[in-house]
Amino acid sequence: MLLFVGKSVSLFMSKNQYKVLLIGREAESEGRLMDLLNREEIKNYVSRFSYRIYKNYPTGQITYMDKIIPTYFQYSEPLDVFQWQLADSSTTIGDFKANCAYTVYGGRRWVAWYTTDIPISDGPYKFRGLPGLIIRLYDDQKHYVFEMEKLERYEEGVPIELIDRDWVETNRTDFLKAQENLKRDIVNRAQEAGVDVEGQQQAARNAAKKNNPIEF
Amino acid sequence: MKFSPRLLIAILSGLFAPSAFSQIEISGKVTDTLGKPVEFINITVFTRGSTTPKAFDFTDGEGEYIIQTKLDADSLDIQASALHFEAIKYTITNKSQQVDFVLRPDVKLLETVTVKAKPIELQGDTLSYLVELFKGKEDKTIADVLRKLPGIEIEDNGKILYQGLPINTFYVEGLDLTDGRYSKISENLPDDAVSVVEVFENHQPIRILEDRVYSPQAAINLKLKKKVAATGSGKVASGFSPWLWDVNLTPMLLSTRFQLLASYQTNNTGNDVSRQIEQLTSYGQMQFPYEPDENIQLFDVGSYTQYGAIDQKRYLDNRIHLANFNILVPLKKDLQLRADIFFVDDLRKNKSEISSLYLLPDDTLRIIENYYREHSRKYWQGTFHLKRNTKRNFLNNKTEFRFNDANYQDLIINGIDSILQHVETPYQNFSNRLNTIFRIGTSLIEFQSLISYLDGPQNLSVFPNQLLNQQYGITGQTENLQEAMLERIYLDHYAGTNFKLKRWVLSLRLGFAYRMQNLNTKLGIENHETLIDTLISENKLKSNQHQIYLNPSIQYQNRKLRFSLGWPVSQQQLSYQDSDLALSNSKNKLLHAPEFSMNYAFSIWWEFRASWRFDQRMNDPDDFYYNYMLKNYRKLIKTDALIQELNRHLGKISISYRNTITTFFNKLSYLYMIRESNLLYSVCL
Repeated sequence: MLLFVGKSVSLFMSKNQYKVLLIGREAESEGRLMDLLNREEIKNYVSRFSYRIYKNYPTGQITYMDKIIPTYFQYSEPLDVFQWQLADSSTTIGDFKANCAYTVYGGRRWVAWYTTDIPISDGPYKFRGLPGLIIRLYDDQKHYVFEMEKLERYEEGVPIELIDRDWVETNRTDFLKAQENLKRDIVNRAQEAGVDVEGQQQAARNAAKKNNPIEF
Repeated sequence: MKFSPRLLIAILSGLFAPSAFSQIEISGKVTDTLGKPVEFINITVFTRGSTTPKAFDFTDGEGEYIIQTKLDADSLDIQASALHFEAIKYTITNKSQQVDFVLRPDVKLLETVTVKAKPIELQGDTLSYLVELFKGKEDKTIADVLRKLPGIEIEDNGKILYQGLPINTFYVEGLDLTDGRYSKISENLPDDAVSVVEVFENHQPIRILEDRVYSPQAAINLKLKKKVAATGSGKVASGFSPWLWDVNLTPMLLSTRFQLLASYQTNNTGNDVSRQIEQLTSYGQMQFPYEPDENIQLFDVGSYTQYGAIDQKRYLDNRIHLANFNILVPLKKDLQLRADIFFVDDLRKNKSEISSLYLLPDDTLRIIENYYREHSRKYWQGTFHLKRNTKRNFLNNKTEFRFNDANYQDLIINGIDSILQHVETPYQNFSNRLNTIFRIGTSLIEFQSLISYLDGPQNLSVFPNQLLNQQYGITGQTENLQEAMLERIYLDHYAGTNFKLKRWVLSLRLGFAYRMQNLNTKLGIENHETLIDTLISENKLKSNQHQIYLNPSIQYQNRKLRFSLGWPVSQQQLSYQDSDLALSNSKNKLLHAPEFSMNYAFSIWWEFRASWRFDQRMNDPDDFYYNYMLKNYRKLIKTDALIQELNRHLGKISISYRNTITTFFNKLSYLYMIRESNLLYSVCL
């Protein structure tokens, strides 16, 4: 996963998705063979995480964008949705001194390790709002673990882009409901999308595997 | 009265001492050097000298913050920090107060830092897994380890999926020995021989298309522990009741330049090892649009009964021998020769009960049959590949020989009769496929060629069979004998290219195909009582088909609208001639098959689709004969008529509403089809 931190806005998305985006853009500028036409469909397969999270866009909001076949959804939450509880424990992660904080979000208890050495109040997924960058984050079951691998500075600016699409404005509750609906209805949706029987079974198997969502 | 100031402080602090460590509120305003308030500045409070944050806040749009805290300390550190400003730290007493900051702009350059070395190395599009870390005691072959790697799944037939999509190439030390028939390596190579499994994500196996054609599929490469590895697996097992055996001897010699694999496997335990030679990838198979089926079926022998989700090992009654030899040698620079030769000898036994129901205008006919089948198959295949795969051009020439000898021995018992049916369906086939891609200017030209020859002398005998007796005035125990011999030559060549301009893609393909075939059949009745043979019908059919085709198509896509229009045209000349019967037919026609489709998403939940297709076809030479031919114990067919011409219009429009929140999905569609045929066949039961 990648976290792009800009002056006021940040973006969290899958690295594979970002790569596909770059490849696609390059292909478009060069005029490639028509096999690339199906790139739209391909994108959905490359990464299991198709969401994008914009923080402080629009101002004061966290915007979550994702596709639930066949609709593109987006919803917002306030920036200060996380109620952090600072703990006294500290450790060293890489060369950074890190401190610990707790919060409860989306049905899980989260443990965050942040460093004041990097004065960026951001972190993986939607998490933010600590007096430093979150460089390690996990839920108390350790089902989801985020760790910082690398920090990189871009010499030339990389724009944080929005995708211009017909996003359906919804809220978190409805979004989670739609996600649950998809799992229950996956075979029909796959059929609808013109997937053959084998593909439908595969889709159902994949959906059944996704039984441990990050939020519920 | 004069108070000492020192005393006053002491008294005051004494007075307030109990409340000194109670809740305090620190607030203030943060501005830049120009006096403008700054937002999103992180204000953190520490106990003096500590680096553990105790409380914090961020400045709002007015540059203001409020921190409420309750700390057990005399003095506190308060720090303002942000990426674009210099950090400022003050030491203050532990009491409610206002602390303002004036920050000087400063650009902190963050250094590139790698925090964590990963157990899985990621380099560009390549993931490397150390086999040692994933290996378990009970694992024998590399497939057992692959199954455990994150993102990799293996299906029952041995097909490897990475992130849900089948892999497109299976390499060992960067060489593709098996051309997609990779189970023989993955299921026989011991995991001890492999050091690293590499996954190439988005792998394009054709190098000239790298950076041009995006591939969603991945490839797997096995890196071996030794530079040259002589390895493989051997297993001999036997059991009783009745005598069961299971043998697998698969030696391999693998290196970065030269590779060799030999295998001999046999069992009668229901393990269909012939699936190890199954083609599991589709890349490089070189298909042609009008190519006839190379697995000829002159008779109608039916297919295997499906047993749903039951493991095949539980019901398969078999006896199989499989021998396989693969070799890969580098020739000149960039040129590679590969051979894949295999032999399968398979015998299967099968029992089933079939119930068929015919609903006729004035009657209903039900037939219940018990079906016993012994299916034996001997199959040889030799494939030779010559391949050059560089950045500048791609060449793949595949020469293939196939010999198939399949026999069916059936016993069919229905209420009245028990019928013996014996079918022999041998064929041999030679084909050469060539695919090359090269560059002219900035566009790529693809050229593909196919030359194939096929012949099959096939026989069907049915005893006893009364199907023809009445018609030909024969009585008694009779056996029907149907002989059929097919010979076919098929050539197909095409060249194609694509252009892309913004949202438009134009593609063009021009080719010609030629098909010539002879079908000689003889149907006779042998009377087992009188020993008199009667010849019923004979075909000596020559068919010729020429075809020139041009397939232009154009496509457009934007966010809401997608449409494509293709207009394949082909000039076809088809002729049939039967010298003995002095019958002939021919037709020369320009056939069109235009196709149009569009998709328009006019709002988020609503979508409109429309498509229309027109299709013109002449009948397939495999299904044409002037005189009777027996297809199986109860099917007799002739097509003595004009050349069939089929025209079909298919129009479809639909409008759909899909709300994924409420899961209210609805679709209204209208399909309109017109089929025109100059012939209608009659069926007699």
